[in-house]
Amino acid sequence: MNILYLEDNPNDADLVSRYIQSEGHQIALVAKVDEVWNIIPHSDLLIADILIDGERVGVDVVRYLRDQGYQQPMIALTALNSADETNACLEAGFDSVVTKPFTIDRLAGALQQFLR
Amino acid sequence: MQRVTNPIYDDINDIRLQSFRALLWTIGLGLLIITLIQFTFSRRDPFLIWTLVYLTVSSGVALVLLNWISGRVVISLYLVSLILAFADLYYVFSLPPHALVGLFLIQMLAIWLGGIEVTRWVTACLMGLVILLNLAPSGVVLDLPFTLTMLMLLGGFYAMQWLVFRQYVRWVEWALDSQERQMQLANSFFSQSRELKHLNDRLNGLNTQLEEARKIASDASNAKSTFLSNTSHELRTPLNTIIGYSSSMLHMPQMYQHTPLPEVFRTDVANILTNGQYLVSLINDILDLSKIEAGKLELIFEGVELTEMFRGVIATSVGLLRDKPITIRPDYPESIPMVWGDSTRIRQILLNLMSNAIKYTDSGSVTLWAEVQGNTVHIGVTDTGIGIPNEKLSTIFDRFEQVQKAHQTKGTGLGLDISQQLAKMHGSLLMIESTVGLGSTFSFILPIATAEQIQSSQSDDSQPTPYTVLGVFDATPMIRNILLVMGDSESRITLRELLEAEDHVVFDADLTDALDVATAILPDLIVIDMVQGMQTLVESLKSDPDTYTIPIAVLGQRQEWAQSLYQLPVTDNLKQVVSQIKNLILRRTLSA
Repeated sequence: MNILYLEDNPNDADLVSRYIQSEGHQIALVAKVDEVWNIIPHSDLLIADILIDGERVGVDVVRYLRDQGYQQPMIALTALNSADETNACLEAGFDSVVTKPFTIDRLAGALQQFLR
Repeated sequence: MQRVTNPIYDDINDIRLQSFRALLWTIGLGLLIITLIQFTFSRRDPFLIWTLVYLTVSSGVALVLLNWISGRVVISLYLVSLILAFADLYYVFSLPPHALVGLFLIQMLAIWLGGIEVTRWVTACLMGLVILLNLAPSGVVLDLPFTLTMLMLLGGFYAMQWLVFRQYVRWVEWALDSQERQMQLANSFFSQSRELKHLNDRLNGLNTQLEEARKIASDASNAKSTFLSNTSHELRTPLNTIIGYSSSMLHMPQMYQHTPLPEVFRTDVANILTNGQYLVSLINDILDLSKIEAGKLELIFEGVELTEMFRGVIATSVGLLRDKPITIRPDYPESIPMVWGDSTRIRQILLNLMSNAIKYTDSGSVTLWAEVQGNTVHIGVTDTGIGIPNEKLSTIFDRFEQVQKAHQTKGTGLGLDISQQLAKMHGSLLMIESTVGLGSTFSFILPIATAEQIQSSQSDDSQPTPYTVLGVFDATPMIRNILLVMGDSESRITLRELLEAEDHVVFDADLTDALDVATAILPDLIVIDMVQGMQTLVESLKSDPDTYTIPIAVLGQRQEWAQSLYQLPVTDNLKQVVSQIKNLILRRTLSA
């Protein structure tokens, strides 16, 4: 499975990519929104941080992709934990929201339903 | 009379009307006097009568005309009396013209020296003198009837003049007064309107300032929200590295080329993970409290199914037990009517109370109970734990306060405070019942949802927005209004000031009207002096359906019947009373 991960925090990118690789999947890491568009057609799943460089771009990216008819699962991975933020993510088109900080088990649990 | 010289007088249109009235008065009085003279002396002399009638009418007309022409009251009055006098002298007594000129000069002198009042009497005296001087040599017999008649005539005439004059002056004064009043009114109106304009300007200024202040406050409030949200985000991000890596090291060896974490590191890494997670709960609690304090915590009210929630809470609580020999007992009816509240927050309170109970109980049981009481549901958690000593009751809601620090409990020390605030936002308070060594009960009350409320929350569900915000609540809605029933006015005033300084709204009542006032304003707390008759008041307050839930605090010595009431310290220091009241508001001890 090819997974695209949009994340500007190198530690989180490292942690998540190592976990996903250990599960036997391919991961493409991008830190900027511009890089998403070229890779997204080749991806089976998108994981996205919400707040990139101080802007809530994750939500906009997902909304745009859903508008364009993108069907693959998308998971938000964010340190914004309020009910409002979670709601905004779900409304924009994310299938699942995992709030930071997460134990690796929780991430695994959230990914499980999409990684077949 | 001096007021007549006021220049305002000349400009009064009303004087013309007054002059007309003076004319009528003159005619009326003249006719009256003539009739009186006629009947008194039975001397029906047509010449005299018509002369007097003519004089009376003409002098009145002259009065009006002169007044009209000159517009000057003083001169009019003077000229009228002069004309009347000369007319008397010329027609009635046939005085020669040079005598009239002499009289005129003398009168002018009198005016010059003594003013109009003096002039009139000088004129009268002169006329009497002149008449006598003229009549004596002409052979008229000055017998008694004639002299009397003349005196009567003259006296009557001048009396009439005087009356008319006085009446005239009164009218003039009235007119002037009213004019002056109008002027004063106008002046005061203008000054008032100036004042009003000034006040208005100030008000506008204040409004602008208020608007600015409001904007600043709202900006500050928004900034606070943003700050809270950003702080939360910034604190969580590094914690993710701590928690994510430590949990991976412990549980995901495949991420480390299938190298399991060496046993020597395990405890330390597990410690990093546990403390990282503790830090997260601390951050969550602090942010919750900050949100409550900033008024940013919004409750989503809906009909809440308690039994379902209780099952979830108990399941989670069982997970907290670890190896403790504690039984978790459910003790609530099979069906409880829906309550009106925010289910997330009610669950938060319950989980908090449960985890506290488990934390402070070494063995025995923790009971989650509920009972329906009227249109409320009383919900509580009872444990068989260490209990809370009396002296700790007042500080239990203080932040970071834990009954036994040595207990090494893994709590933030913020849980009770948050639960208390959340209970308050539901219109309730956390109540504590505790005995050292036997255990504690923490409970709160929720209202049963009305049919309309359930309907409204169901109709809200049909809307696409998953969250419906029904209101932003003041973080401390329960502690605003306080009713003071105190005999000693001095301490009442001091207490009122102290409480008002704490942003309370303070009402006063005495023993007789306290019940009415309490029913009318429904205060959040009633403070009563230990005075004669207060027992009756307390009993009626406690038996009134509107007021029986209002907490009552008594000032003074504890009495047998007042066991169930709050006891405020017997002290001269009212500040201490205020801080006690503040504590009371935070806790409602059911029994010591």
